[in-house]
Amino acid sequence: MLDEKDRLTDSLITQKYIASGYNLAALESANNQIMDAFSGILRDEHQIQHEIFNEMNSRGWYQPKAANPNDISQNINKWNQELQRVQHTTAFRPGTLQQQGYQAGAPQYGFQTGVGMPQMGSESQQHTMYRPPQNPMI
Amino acid sequence: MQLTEMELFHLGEQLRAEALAITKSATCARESTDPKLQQMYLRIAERHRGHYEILMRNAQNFAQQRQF
Repeated sequence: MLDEKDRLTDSLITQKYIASGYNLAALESANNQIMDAFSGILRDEHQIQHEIFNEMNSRGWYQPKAANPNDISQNINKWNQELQRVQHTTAFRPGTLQQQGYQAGAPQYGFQTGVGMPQMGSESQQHTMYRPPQNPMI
Repeated sequence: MQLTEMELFHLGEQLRAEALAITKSATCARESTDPKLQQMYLRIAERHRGHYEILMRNAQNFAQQRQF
């Protein structure tokens, strides 16, 4: 017979499994309607999972260890260096695009904000980039 | 656009997982001796039932589209 902790742990593992399934399902959806349904349920599965986690956490059955503040600082420094390296390698340099194999009309990345994703050309361009291929045979 | 084979596969997988989650949550509610956890398990079972219905509605929408 399972005890209270076992039941909560089992529920938590079930939630992780179901959420992973919805994540993959949303990623592999071609129809907007289906993708929205999977994504919406995924969000609710996350909330259920968090509710279970909070119950375990308040009972002392699942208490994640806090990160060392020094480790956080060291990692932030490392990530900043990595960002600078990436900005340097992807910086727009006139006259060098052709020989580096860039395609004409490809979106040009701008890092004016210092953080975040590469800036895309337009909404429609972004939309087509993130849609999975259409399959009219099925 | 018609439902793809991959979407149909995932609908089936998630329906199966949701059905099991409904049963498991209801069982946990019965077996738990903590009233707070009993209520939580019952709420979770209902939410999984809601997910099951959403998935079924989506599958049925595409089945109806196919007929016309």
